[in-house]
Parts: sequence; structure tokens; C-alpha cells
Amino acid sequence: MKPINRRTFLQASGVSLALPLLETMNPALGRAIESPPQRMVFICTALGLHSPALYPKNTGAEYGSTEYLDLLKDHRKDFTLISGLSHPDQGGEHYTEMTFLSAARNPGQDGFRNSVSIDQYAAHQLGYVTRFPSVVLSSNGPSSQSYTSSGVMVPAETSPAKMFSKMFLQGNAEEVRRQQQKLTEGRSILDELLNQTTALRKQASAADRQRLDEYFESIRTAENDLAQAQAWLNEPKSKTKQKQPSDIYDKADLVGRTKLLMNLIPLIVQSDSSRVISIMIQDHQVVPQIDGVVAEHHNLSHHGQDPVKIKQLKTIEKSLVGCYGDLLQDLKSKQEGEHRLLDNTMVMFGSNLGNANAHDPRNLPIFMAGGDYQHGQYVALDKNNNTPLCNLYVNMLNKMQIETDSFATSSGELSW
Amino acid sequence: MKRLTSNKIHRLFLIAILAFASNVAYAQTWKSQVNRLIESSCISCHDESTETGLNFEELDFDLSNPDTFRQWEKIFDRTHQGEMPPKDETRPEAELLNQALASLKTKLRETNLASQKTNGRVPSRRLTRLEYEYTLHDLLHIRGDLAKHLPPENTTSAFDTVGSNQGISPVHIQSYLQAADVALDEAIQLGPSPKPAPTLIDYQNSKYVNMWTERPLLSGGSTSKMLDDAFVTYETRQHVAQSNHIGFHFRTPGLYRITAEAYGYQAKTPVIFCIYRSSNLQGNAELISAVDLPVGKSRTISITRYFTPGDYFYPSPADHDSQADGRNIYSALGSKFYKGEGLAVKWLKIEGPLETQWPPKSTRQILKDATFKRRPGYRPAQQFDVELTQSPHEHIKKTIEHLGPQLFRRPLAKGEVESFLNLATPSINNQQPLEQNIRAPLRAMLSSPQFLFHSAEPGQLVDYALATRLSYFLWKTTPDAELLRLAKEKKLNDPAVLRQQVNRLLDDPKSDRFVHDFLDQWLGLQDIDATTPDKNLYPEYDDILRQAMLQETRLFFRALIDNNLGASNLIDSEFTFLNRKLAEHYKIPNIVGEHFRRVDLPKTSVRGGLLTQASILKVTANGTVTSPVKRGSFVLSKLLGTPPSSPPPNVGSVDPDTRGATTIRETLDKHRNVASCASCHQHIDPPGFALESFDPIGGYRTNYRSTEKGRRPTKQLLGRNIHEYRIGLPVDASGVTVDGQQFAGIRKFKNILLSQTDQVAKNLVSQLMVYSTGGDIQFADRDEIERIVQETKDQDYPVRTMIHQIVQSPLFRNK
Repeated sequence: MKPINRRTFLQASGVSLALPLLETMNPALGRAIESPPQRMVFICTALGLHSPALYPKNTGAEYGSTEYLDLLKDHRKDFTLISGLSHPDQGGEHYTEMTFLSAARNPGQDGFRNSVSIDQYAAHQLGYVTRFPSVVLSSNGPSSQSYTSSGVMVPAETSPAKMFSKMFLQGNAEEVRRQQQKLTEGRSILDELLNQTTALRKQASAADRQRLDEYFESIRTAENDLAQAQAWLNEPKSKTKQKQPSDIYDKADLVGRTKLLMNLIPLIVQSDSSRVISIMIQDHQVVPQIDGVVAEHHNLSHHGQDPVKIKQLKTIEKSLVGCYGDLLQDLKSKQEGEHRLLDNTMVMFGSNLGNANAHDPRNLPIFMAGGDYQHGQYVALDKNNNTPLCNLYVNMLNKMQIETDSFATSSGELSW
Repeated sequence: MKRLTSNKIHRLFLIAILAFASNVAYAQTWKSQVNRLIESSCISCHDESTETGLNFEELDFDLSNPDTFRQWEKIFDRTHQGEMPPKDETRPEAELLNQALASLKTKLRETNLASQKTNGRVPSRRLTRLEYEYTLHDLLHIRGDLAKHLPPENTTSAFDTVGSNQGISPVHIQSYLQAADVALDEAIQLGPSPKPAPTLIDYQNSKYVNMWTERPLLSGGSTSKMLDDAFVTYETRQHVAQSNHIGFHFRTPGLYRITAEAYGYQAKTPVIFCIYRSSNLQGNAELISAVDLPVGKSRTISITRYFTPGDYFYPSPADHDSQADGRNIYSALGSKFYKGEGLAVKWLKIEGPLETQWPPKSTRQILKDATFKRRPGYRPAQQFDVELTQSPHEHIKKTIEHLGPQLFRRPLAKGEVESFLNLATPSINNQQPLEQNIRAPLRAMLSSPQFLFHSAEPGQLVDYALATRLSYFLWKTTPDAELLRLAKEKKLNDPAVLRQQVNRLLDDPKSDRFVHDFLDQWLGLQDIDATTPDKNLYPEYDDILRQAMLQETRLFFRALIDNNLGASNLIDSEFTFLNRKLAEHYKIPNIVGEHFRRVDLPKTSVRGGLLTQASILKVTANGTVTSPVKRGSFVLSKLLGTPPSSPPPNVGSVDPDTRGATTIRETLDKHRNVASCASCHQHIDPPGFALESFDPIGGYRTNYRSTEKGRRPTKQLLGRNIHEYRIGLPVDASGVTVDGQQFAGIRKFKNILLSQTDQVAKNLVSQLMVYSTGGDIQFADRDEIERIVQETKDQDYPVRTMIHQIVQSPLFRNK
């Protein structure tokens, strides 16, 4: 018998809330063997990757190595490097940070409003099959690349310790009771606000009514989120043998902080706490503590062709690429059913800038690892006439079984 | 019912037909007049084969469609300004052109006014996160950071007060619930009373400090020194001096007073005594005080700042010169041998929270009419029990009735009290204490649409709505008792009262919030930290200079308001505001001390006006390099209000090169010679060129600084030679404006710009109008803006008068 997809199964069985991932399904509910779901992980280093150190000369499977690719040589069969991707109609300094996952056009121009990011779109489609529809993380501050359908940024979690606690630490009975109470209180507040909004709406002018409707919808969704969170509170949390990480407060420890975030990914995936993860590695506005680096990351990205700066920039970027390599290693070493965890996890790593020195948003550096892709290649697409990055996003959504022909600015589906 | 006679029916019918016919006739006139122009002068390019965005064969006349309206508005503007038809095409016949423009203008205006009449000019807007924070600070008597709990505002539009650009999402709702919780946590304080006497941060007797002072340099010590009368630090980030390392911890959020006495140790020049606040969670340190220590004298300071549990603070020197031979504390092998300047702290004390009663006012207000009973002994978690004097419902009802009208900026509506009060019932039934029971009702009120949205009926604002708009414009907070009283008495719509209130609000220090927020957004000062100058190229840039830069611009704009000075000062002024640090940066002599004062600029000075202020020059640079494009674009869009069209998407920008072999002008010249770039860049680049004589941190320069090529600088920095950068290629700040006027540098350029003072004034009025009303300038608003500009023209557009004009204007006083 063909194993049924977990989500289909849950829908068919009429269970509105998913259970933690089980190796086999409860015979009382159905005699199906679970097939592990696919996950999507987006990691963006917001200051680009220096392309001369990244791209090899020849394309295809026989590509030669480069300074950065050397760091990933153990994983050569498990990733694909893609060039020639970007979002159309982008520009303006670092504004593309906002649109890396959403592809909204003309960021930074007057009246710009963002659109839904791919991770939030997927999270919305999946709903609460997991404890967290999505996990949004950042190395510095709450800025993220995840945006709701109304174009509002979803604040990122910056504390690995807190994220770990949300996933694994059950808390004592009193703490759980208090959390329950807080959620109940929140829900009754929102219920009351729905009433008040309805009442206000009756007296409001047409233009104001539209505003109140948006607010009303937001409350309804928020109320539903609290209800789902409350239902999950009754489910025992997953267990792990790993210890809760200690947060690193020092912003100069860019690599340490990045590693802590990366370390969360296998935990999130293995415990099926979420299937959608986005991580943004940002400018920390201090000199990173890395040997040989004496200037700030952002500054070095504007190297002005100064070889001294380029050398330091590469040192920083190498350590970030190294973190990505470690993550792949980690995901390969863990099993899920008959597969390596990596095979069930699409891990995209890249940047919203193709050339940070000139704020050029074209030709974005994109690595794709894991998932059930044919890896081991360097896919070089036309650098003068870029392919929409959303073509890759369409493909990722379909692999998640969120079936679609298009996403944002896609012109088709990318495959190689 | 009275029967209508057939005669009457006939007449009514006739009137209806006539009205209809005249409408049709009118509609036909404007369309046919416009069509005649299109046929004669436009259609040959703008037909279906056009490569431009405009195709008249597709564009219809349905102005009720906002997109269509915008298209016609743009057509009007470009034709009216003479940009279309293009210069090299035959001019349309004058009468034909004028008729078409006049009837298009009338039609656009009519349509716009009709829509304003039905819906109001602006849709209801949400409090910005800054306004949310200020409002809660004022109402709940708290000071903590609340804005950071709310989603960031959409920063890409003009102002975050503009309703049509504001987002609202489930993320907001959850954030409001959370921020309200944080606010209530701070407001309700039942912990131990503050210590009555100040606590000494005792460096002298601290084993920890002494250990590090004695420890050898190579083991990380010896960057501080103990004297008989003082503790000396040479290190800017002196971990040893952190208050938490000396055993002082903040237990309660609130205002604290730090007092200290210090002098410049071994000082031959003024040393700056800084105090930084930080916390492990915050990561980076915030400069909360910086004062100059005069040579040979000690100085006592007293500052009051907000601290919250987890914070710590530490003293730190700045502008402390190295040893005469250029050695620093490290190369001189530590504090035992070092002869350079340092900071000697004689004593340092802290006291707080500064409250006149305990539990504080914030707690007593929320737990209205309750009494507080002290538990015996020292109970850090909860020292006071809340005792009721009436039923829990009565207590909570009083709080709702007290805070409600201030939060909702109007009297509470029927049933409102009960609906919020009901939320307390489950908690009351659970026998929870009052401080718990009150939370659900207050959290609901602080997340409610009544609080979060400014709303009003179309037409003239009722007094309460006017009070709200005025108060959030000039104070960024909810109307105070006086405004609410005037609203209640329906006096606020009286022009004289309104005028008097504007003066009252502007004369109050709370209006600094407006000055800061307006400048932050208008001029982009909020992004001053978006880039950090290269430490090697600009070693003189530090936090103290950064704060001084911002302060200059804020005080300057403040002075324009306070002294009702003209808008031409924005282009060029005979004065500015300086302290020693900034004056040295500007090379203006004889300014002593950290305090800011108004300084008359020498006749030959390059400074004066906004553009040559370091803050503006900093935010218009890309960190380490300047870009004439970015600065030129700033002049056009921010100062003149005539933004250039956006660059074609995906062009990126110039690849900067700081090695010193080429200048940015040489790089730019390449693309200025491409015709498609030149049409815009002939407008953008000249102002940027004029500003090339200012480096990324606002220093005046005749040569670029370079990392590789060029000679060594001869001047000194902090008592030592400069080894970090070299003197590179010379700067060329000359140019030709788009209308052919030549300038050799910034002074002449500002002179040329002064002829556009009316444009600058018009832009300022527009910016203030958008900011204060929360709605963009619409087609029908233009005449009113123009009227304000014309009426203030003969006094050089004085800024306070402009603010009065704006508030009195129908645009401000109608929804």
C-alpha cells in the first residue's frame, strides 16, 4: 500500500489538530505508515556573498572548486549552486532584504507595500499541523524576511534558548496552568474586541469601515491562532536529549550566534515542531570576532575593491558558508525513517544581494541542498536575463505538496 | 399625501431633464476639449503602439476609478509643467491647450472634492508605534520601551502617520496584547520601597576593580588605575567599571539619578566624561551622558535616566589624548607607566526609582482607591498587599472610567464601561487579587479599535476629533486635560482658541517629540545608524559626534519654530547650533563645553542651512563613501519636494572604489554620458556635486581620503599622528545646474538654491500637512497649499506661522 501523506491523512480522519510526528499511525485511527513530510528552510545572509570567491568557471556536474565551494566539498553530492536568479523590479540599497522571500516589486519606493513571503504562504497553507506553522529566526534584532499577506513583517525570534524552550520544555503544572489562563484571557479579550468592532463599524463612515474590517479580520485570525496554541499546549512537547542552548549576548560573535540558530534546524525538523523555517543573518553593526577581521561586516561588503577589505570580507563569508556546511553535515547524520533528515529538508542558502558593494539585486547567490533534488551541479542561468527566483519557490511549494503553478513573480517552475 | 398637479410633474420632469442634459453637455465639453488636444498633440506617440506607459486609446474617462484618476492627474501635471509634449515637438495651439487644461483641472478637482465630501480626505489611521508608546508613557506614568514590542512601521512611504500605508495584521493584535502586558507590568509596582539614600558605586574598595587594576596588561588588566582620590580608566569600554560588577543591580524599572564627580587625569585638553547604559540582552551600549571636563578642574554631574532590571551602566572617557610620543595604554605597557589622558572618577552614586510615594503613582492610578499594606520583613517579590475598600468590580469600574476617556479621547459611550468590566469577572470569580483582575479589562482597552484608530465622520472634525489630531501632531500623544475640556465645551473649533492651543503645545517641551519624529521621517535622520563609516578612513567618528549631529538639526528646526524664522533658513542661514565637539568638527574655534548654543556663523563659512549639517551629510552618504546621486536626490525630494523619477529597476548603483585611483565623479561621468541616464541625472547630480566637498561624516574636505594612494596627513588626532588613512585625489565640487547656472562650490550653489525658496516653503507646508493629517496631498488640496505659501511669502515663510496656517486650514479641520 502506498503510504499516505500525513496531511491528507489528518484531513481525511477529520482531526483538526495534528499529533506530534509518529513513526507509525495509531491502528485505531488508520493503518497507514507515515511518510515523512518535506520541510523548507530559507537562510539568507543579507550582505551578499563575494561572487569571485563563489562561482566556479565551468558549469554542470564537472564544475571546479572555488574558495567558498572548498568549504562544502564534503557535501558536493548534496547541494546545487545556482546563479542567474533574481526577483524582477528590485532596487534601492538594502530594501531587497524585505523582498527576498516575497518578491514584491519596487521595494523602497513611495507607497510600497510588501506581499506575503513564501514561508508565510506555506505556513498558512499548512496551518497548525505542527506546533508552529512557521519558525522565524534572526541573528540580530526582530527584523525578518517573513511577511504576512497584508505586508506586515513577522517579528523574528532571536533567542535560541527561548526557541528551544518553546519546543521542548514542558514547564511545571503551575506554569502550564498560567499559560492556559493567559491564552484563555487573550481569547476572551479578542472576543470582546470583535463585539466592539462590530458595534463601531455600524456608526463608521465607509472609508473607516474598511479599516475596521481589516482590524476585525486580524482579530479573528489572532483569536484562531491563540485557540490553536491553546490546543497544542495540551499536547505533550517533544523530547530531546540535547540541552537547552545558552544565548550568546555578544553581538561581535557573529559566527557563534549564527551557529546557535543553525543548530536549531535539525531539532525543529526532527521533532516536527514546524515545517517552515526562515533565518536571516544580519549586519551586527560591530566588528565580528573572527581572526583577521578588523572592520564591520557591512562596511567590508562595501569594499570599494580594496583588497585588504575584500580579504576580510571573504574571511567572514567563509565562516558563514562553513556554518551552512556544518548544518548540512548535521542533517545528513540524522535518520528519519529510511532517509537522512536532509533528504526530507530543502535548505536554501543565499542572499538578497548579488553584489553588495553596488547594492546590485541581480544574480543572487543561491545554494539549494536536501529535498529530493538531483544535486551535485552548478546551474548557471543567464546572467543578463535573470530567471525569477520565484520559479524555484514554485518548485519548493510543489515539493511540499502545496500545489501551485505560480508564486508572486514566477514565470514558470524551475527544475534542473 | 398631497397630489402633484400634472403641471408640477411636468416642471419637475423638465428640471430633471435639463439637469441631466447640462451634465451630459458639461461632460461632453471637458472630454471633447481634452480629446481635441490629444488628437492634435499626443496620440501620435501615445497610441496602442506606444512604448511609454500611456496609451490614450485604452485610457477611459472614468475618474471615479482611482487608477484612472491618477493617470489623468499625471497627464495634467506633465502637460501643465510643459514637459509634454516634448520640447522638440510642435507646440499645441495655446488656446486649445489652455482650454483642455482648464477643463481637465476643473473636472479633476470636482471629482476629488466629491469623494472628499463622501469619505473625508483621509481614512481613519492607526496610532504609530511611537505614538502608542508616548501615549502609554503619559497615561500610565511609565517610561519603558514599548515600541519594540510592536511590528515596525512601513518606512518606505512618506510618513508612518499616513493611514493608507499602514498595515494591520494578526501580528499587530498579538503584539498589542503583549505590549499592554509589558506596560502593566511596569505600571504595577508592589516590590520593596526604594532606598532613601543614594548608593555609592565604590570603586576604591571593590576587590574586583582592584584585582583588574593590579593585573598585568598581558592578562587583561592595567587599563585602569587606583589613586588616593579617584579611580582612573583609560579604556572606552571598561568592563571593570560596570555597575553590576561592583554589586549594584536594578531591581525596579524607573527613573534613577546618577551623580558623580570626575576630572581629566593627566589632561592637557578637555576629556569627555561619558556614561553608557547597557544590558546583556541589549548587547550594545547606549551613550546616556557626555560632558566635557575642563583642564585642571573636577566637575560634578547629575543626570536622571530610565533604567530597568538587567541594565547596568559604566563611566567611560572620550577624546582622551594618547601620550606625547603617540603611545596608547597598550604600547605604553599599562597604567603604571602610561602618561596619556584618562578619566578620574572621584565618586559615583545612584539613587532611585525617584518616586515621591510608594507604591508609586502609576500603581495607585490603576488600582484606584485601593490601600497598600506592607508585609513584614524584606520581600523582594512582593512587599505590598493590595487591600480593597469596595467591591472588586467597583474598583475596576473606577479605573475604566478614569482612563477610558483619556484613552479613547472622548467620553465613554453607553455600555462601554460594562463591556470592558465584564472581562474581569472570570478572574474575580477565581478569587484573584485586584492587580490581576484589572489586567484583562485594561489589556482589552489598550488593544481596542477605539484606542488604536483615529476615526471621524466626513466633514468638519468634531471638537474631540480635532483635539486628537492636534495633540498627536504636536505632542504625539493623547489630548491632555485642557484639550479635552475645550473639546467638551465645544470651543476648540474657534480659530482664536485653536491658535492659542497651538502656541501652548509648541511652547511645551513635549513638542520636542514632534520635532524629533517629523525630522526623523522627513529627512531620514532615523537612519543615521544604517551605515557606519570606516574606522580607518574616519577615525574621528564616534557616538558623541553622532549625537551632536542630530542635536544640531533638531535645535535648528526648533529655533525656526520658536523664533518664527523663515523657510529660506533651510537653504542657508547665518547661524547654527554647536557644542565644542561639533564646532571642532566644523573647524569653528572658541566653542567650549558640551552644551549647545546658537552660534553666528562667519561670513565665509560653508555651513548654514540644512544641507551642510553633518547629520544630513551623514544620512545621505553610503557609510564610507559619498554619492552625489544619493545627495542630489535628497535635495530634490526632501528639500524641494520634486523627487526625480525612480531609476529603472535592477540597475544597481555605481560600484564604489576607495583605493584612491578614481573619484566618484569620474565614475559617474561615464553614465552621465548615456542619453537615457542623462535626462534625469542632469537634475540629480548638480546638487550632489556641490555637496562633494563634505565627507560621509559631514567634515569639509578638499581632498578625498584614501586607503592606498596619497600622502600622509600632517594633522594630529587625539595627540598622535594619523596612520589610518592617506590624503587622496582632490575634490571637485563645481557644476552647472540644469538651467545653466555655474557654481564653483557649495556657497555659490546655496545662493542659486535661494531663488527656489518658494519651492522649499511649499514642500515644507506639504510635508507638515501630510504628517499632521495622515493623508497625502490630493489634487483638490493643491490650491490650499498654494494659498498658505502665498500668504506667508512676504515674511519669508515663517515656520510657526505656517504651522498655525496648517492647523487653521480646512484640510486639517476636516476629516
